[in-house]
Amino acid sequence: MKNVIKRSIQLLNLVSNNKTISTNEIKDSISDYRDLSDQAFRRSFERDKSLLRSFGYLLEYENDKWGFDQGYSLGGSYVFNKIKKESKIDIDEFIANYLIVKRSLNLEIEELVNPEILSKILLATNDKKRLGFTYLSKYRKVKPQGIRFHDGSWYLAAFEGQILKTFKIEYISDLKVGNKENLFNTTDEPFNFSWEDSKAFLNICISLPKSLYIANKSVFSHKLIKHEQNDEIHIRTSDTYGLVKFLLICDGSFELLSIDKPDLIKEILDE
Amino acid sequence: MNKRLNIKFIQSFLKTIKNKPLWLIDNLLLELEISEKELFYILTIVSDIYTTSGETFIDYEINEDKKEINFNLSENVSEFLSINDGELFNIFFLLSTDANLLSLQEENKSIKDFSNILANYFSLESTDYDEPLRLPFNDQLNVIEYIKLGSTNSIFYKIKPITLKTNSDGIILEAFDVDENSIKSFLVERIVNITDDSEYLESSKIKTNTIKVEFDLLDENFLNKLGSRIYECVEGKLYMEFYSYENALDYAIKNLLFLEVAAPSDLLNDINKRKNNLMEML
Repeated sequence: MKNVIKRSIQLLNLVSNNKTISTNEIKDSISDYRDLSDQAFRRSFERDKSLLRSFGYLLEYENDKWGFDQGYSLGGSYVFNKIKKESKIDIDEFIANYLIVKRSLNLEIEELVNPEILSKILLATNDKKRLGFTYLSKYRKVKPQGIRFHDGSWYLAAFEGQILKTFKIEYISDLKVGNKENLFNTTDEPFNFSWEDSKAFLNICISLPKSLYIANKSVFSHKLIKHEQNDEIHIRTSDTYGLVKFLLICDGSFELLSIDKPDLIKEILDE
Repeated sequence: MNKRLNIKFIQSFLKTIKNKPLWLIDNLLLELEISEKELFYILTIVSDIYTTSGETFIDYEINEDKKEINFNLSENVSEFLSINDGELFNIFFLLSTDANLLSLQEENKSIKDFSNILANYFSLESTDYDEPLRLPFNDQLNVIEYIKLGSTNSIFYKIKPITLKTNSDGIILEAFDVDENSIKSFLVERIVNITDDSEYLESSKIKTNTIKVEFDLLDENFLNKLGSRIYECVEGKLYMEFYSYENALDYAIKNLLFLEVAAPSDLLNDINKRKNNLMEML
């Protein structure tokens, strides 16, 4: 363990401050690697890289055929590096405030969003670069706008063509950032989901214990119109399928008081 | 050793000592929340590292009479210090949503400025927390009222929170279950109450058994959504194991457009009964 931590520090130290370093230089600079055979070095280096990756430090190989500095550099700290370059910001004060905030948290927080994907989205959004990724088996090229948190899930808001869409981050894979900067402008529009603009709403009123509503509300996209003291809830939704799931999960614990389009639910149950 | 000594902790350690090289050892231990043994373990690691120019990364001197430690840091340490995007994102998200951190910003102008700096880099919307998110856990014992997936009944757990994480189900609280002496994961949105000991009933817990389920696969694209989940798929049949009946029921309902339960029959009947009940209500 001691050697692993030591090697991690040495690796980060080698690539810190935007340095790019070749594989041979890495092998020569770290004593634990130096005497290993090429194969053993590869294995050990890959393990260390993956450990660092799990902490959000991304050792990435730059393979730009036009570039001079091929080799490994440190990704994953895009925001901090940008802030460091800002002449108006005192970086020591920034770090001191960061430590105060960290200390004020009751719990350690880990990976709200996959750090590798997050870092690439931040880079692309701030530098206005295009993102390419596989989303549920289909390849997409988008202009990222930001991140949205909704019902316990994280979404990337991005323009695909002229349409602003939201992509569930969990389903994004093989994410790549384009090379060119300043390809587009970012929007001030809210990152709406398509269902929020829908006019095909269903209104339903049920009586249900508040705790059950809280525990299961993320099952479907909806707007809570009213929550009465006597556990009566009025909901508006166009996510009929999600509503069916919600009602099936809460079976035996709710009473249906009114619904304006029962046929929409019946259609799903009949399928 | 209790403290998780990893590269993130080493970064925190370096950030702490960088602007204040001279420390009373006791104060430093308090600040880092580690034991003396852990401090010396860290020191043996970091003092054994040399920069590319051959100087020591960190040197230190201990004054045993005064119980002080004085650090001498190489210039490389400043370059080495970094905060990764994931950490800053977590903090920015909580600064915008967590009730404690929102009040900290009101009290402390420099924290407000810190939050404003981050706002320039994070384009983030959250609809879940129009009201500040309250995570009133502390690192001591808490009793939580929790509704498990697939269940409509509350269960009380006596827990010691460890960390918050995220996965495809949402934000997860990882905590130590005091009675079962094991670490468990709780979906934050399903914690419906944090209560005191008086309402706590250990007997409310029911021992669960794992269950194997056979599904008819209605949409083959569904397999792409399974990610790292363990399953077996043979000729249109999908076989999965769940840690409890309730968990299997929840999964079957949430994916009813893609999967149909073929076995066990109890589960199939339960789902059909629920569908019939709903149909009758409409």
